[in-house]
Amino acid sequence: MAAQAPAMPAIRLSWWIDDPRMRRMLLRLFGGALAVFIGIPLLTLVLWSFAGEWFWPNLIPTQWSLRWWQEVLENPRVIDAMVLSFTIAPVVTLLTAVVAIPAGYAFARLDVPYRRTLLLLFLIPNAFPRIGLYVSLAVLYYQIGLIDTYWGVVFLHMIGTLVYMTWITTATFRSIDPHLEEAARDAGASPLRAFFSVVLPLALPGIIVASLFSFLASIDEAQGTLIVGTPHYITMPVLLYTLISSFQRPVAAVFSVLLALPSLLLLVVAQRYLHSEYVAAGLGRV
Amino acid sequence: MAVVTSARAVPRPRRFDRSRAAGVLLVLPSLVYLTLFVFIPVIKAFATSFTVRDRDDAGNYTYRVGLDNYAQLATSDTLRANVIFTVFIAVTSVAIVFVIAYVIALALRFGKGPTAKFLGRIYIVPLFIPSVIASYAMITFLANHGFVDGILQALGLPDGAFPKIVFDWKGIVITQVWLSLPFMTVLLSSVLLEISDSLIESARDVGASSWQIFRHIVLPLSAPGALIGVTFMFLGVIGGFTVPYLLGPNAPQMLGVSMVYYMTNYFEPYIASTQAVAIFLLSLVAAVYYVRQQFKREIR
Amino acid sequence: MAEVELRHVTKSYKDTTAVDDVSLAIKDREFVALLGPSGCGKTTTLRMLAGFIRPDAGQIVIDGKDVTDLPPEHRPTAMVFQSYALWPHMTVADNIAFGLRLRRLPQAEVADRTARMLDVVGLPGVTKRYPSQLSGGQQQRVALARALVLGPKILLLDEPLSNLDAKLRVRMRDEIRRIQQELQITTVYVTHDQEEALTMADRIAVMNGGVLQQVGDALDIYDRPATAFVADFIGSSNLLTGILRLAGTRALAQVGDARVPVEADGLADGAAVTVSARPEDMEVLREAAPDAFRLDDTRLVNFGAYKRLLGRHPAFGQLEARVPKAFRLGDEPVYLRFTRARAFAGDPKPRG
Repeated sequence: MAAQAPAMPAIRLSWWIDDPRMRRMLLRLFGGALAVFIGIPLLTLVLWSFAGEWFWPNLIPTQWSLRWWQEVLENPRVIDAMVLSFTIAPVVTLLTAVVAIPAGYAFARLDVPYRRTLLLLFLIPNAFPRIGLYVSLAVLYYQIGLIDTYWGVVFLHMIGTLVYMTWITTATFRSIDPHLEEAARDAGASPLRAFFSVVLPLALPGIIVASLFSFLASIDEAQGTLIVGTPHYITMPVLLYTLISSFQRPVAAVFSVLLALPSLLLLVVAQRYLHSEYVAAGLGRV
Repeated sequence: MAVVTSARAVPRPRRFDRSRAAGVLLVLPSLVYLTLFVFIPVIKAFATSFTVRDRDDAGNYTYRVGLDNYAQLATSDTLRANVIFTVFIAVTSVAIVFVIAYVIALALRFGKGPTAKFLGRIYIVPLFIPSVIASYAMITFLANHGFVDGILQALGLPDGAFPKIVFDWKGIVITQVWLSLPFMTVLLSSVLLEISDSLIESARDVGASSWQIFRHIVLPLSAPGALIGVTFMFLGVIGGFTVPYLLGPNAPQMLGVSMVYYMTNYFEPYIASTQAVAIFLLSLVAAVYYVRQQFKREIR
Repeated sequence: MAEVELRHVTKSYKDTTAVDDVSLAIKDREFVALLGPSGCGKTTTLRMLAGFIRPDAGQIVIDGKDVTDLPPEHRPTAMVFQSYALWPHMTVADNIAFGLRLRRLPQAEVADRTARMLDVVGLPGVTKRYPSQLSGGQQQRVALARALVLGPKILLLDEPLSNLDAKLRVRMRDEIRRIQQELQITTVYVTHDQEEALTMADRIAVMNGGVLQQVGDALDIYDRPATAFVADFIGSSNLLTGILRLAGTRALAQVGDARVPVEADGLADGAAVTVSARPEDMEVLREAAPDAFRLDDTRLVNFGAYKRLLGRHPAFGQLEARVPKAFRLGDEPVYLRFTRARAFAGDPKPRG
């Protein structure tokens, strides 16, 4: 059908995409624009964090200084928030792993009754608007006394991480040939022994990546913590809300850079293991 | 020695099935957690949204079931404007992200040069930036008397001519695009990876141009997977708080912000819950689609 | 000293019966092949022997002991998987030693037995390598060593050669048979490849649609197939439908106008039968004769040592005969006569 009629409009519409040289040039332009769009806002933050004096419309600070860093790092509220964030995140990650890994294994391998229904239930946290869920949870927390408590914050953080880790581990366990486990049973290993000797080591990369992302998601969670954690459980991103709202630009900038560090560290570490499926499985950090 | 042909054996007694029991046991903790911290709040939110609180003459509260909260949502100009604003923001940002992410994904899938490699390195960065920081970075970048404004000044734009982006819908959309780009790109890339090279090559074989291949092969084949990404992001934007809270206008507000205000400032859980349910219902079509598609993938 | 018995073993899934009332006794040191097309239930049967699947009905008995409810780790069986299932995160030595270590054997003995087993499978000196660094054939040998090192009473092999190329498959065939003979181990071997089954096994159990069709040695199965399915599945057969006529001790099948002498054990006069004959049991005639089938569209396919004559009968479809390599086709038509055939009750279409 396409062979006979030389469709003029189609050619006109797409001349630039059919010409390799043109395409390459457009792609370069696009790449440059994207780099500016993604990179420069972050760079501005870094510049602000080292700015001693920066009067608009200068494009770089007129004076450099480390005094904002000093101020932030000596601020007890900042220290408290950092300590809190870093005591919540490991607990969230650990609890999530303990709850999600068995579930992931069961979904991947075992004959779970009502498997379809259960899997459907596991999708609900992502289908209900997150902030709506947090608000409803806050109402519940008021009634059962979890509002403004450490565990209240931990359990809220687990909503996102649990679903995410269950999916990742399900996918990971499913990608492991079940015969490997059967071979271990055949060689005389109990079900538990087969899991720890064969399945777990092979699933470890997936579990580690999922744990790192859970850790990060907990460190970065702001909106839910703001609702159920104030006024006593102020984590780093919640504190950043207040810093931004109070228009202390360099302080907020320093704090932002500080808060982004763990994530960027992960970016470097994880890039090798970062299979697209892990992210595609639903990292709900929108 | 031939086949034994005596009477059939009686069925073995149904033994306690260890696999099923183990399955239940392993799933149970996560199910208990989800019930307590997700299902009950969701159900309560529905219940609360249908609960009306009246005050009698003696100043006592009485409660009844009714649709008054929804009526208020529909008739109050402010609340209705919020609903429309929320949908507008979500649709706009999803559309923009989709186009940009598709271009990147195409380049990653089919491009081989250094530009494709470069794109592959940078698009992922926002995934690792918390949304609070991203919002703040965008404020310093796009605000009046911000970085972009400064550059435009240097290029000769008169002071004050810079459009209002921050504390406006544009700011929300741009930041939302910035934040959602990696997720959408990763998803689209994985979808495009599933399209085999042989399909492309056979199309090229019969003389299809790049554009025709894209239009008639790549786009239709990637549509189902791409829609999962679109719905997921739509749900995320609609239920988001941080970005509109930090970058949005005072009015209209996105529902996420408005909900939290009703909850924490006015202490009005009824209206707050109603808004939550309203968002949910608004996105129900998307949610159902998302759940069904994701489900198809889960089930072998 | 290791006998296995399946007694009326049945396993059903939601809408299919994978294994239907299978009974089979395997003698000590015997090599039995479970042969059948894919989906015939042979692998399910093997996995029930290994303990990965629990039968719905029936018993599995090893050396007089009912093991039906025992999990795989408590059965004296060892399995070689089609995919080999070597643990990729362990070295060859660790793969083989895994089961020995579970049994808490002393370090020296573990190393000694591992090395010895690698010698048996003809693969010394690869202990420190990982499975991914080995070729398919080598992985196969490691999988065999891993199964054998525990000294199982029964060796189970699930299509172990299907991932190897043709040459290697033939070599490994002999190798597995040699090892089996050397270790004198009772072996059950699942395959869909009749050549493997015919050349390796002492006895062959042919399965179809979950039902055991016939058990016997290669000659039994080939020469005296018990069902039309076996006749069709093993080697190749000409299959025709007809009516059985008994006359004294002689049995004839009326196929169209022709009468074909058949072996028909226990079938009644007037029964509808499937007549099956091997291509080598066909006589090729150059002119019409009573009880001969005329062939149209004839062609020859050269197999080197012999040729196959293929043609179509107007009523009965494709027929074939094995002919000497000197055979030539002329312009005149060719006729086939059945010199030896068997009759089976019912339809020739294989079930499942």
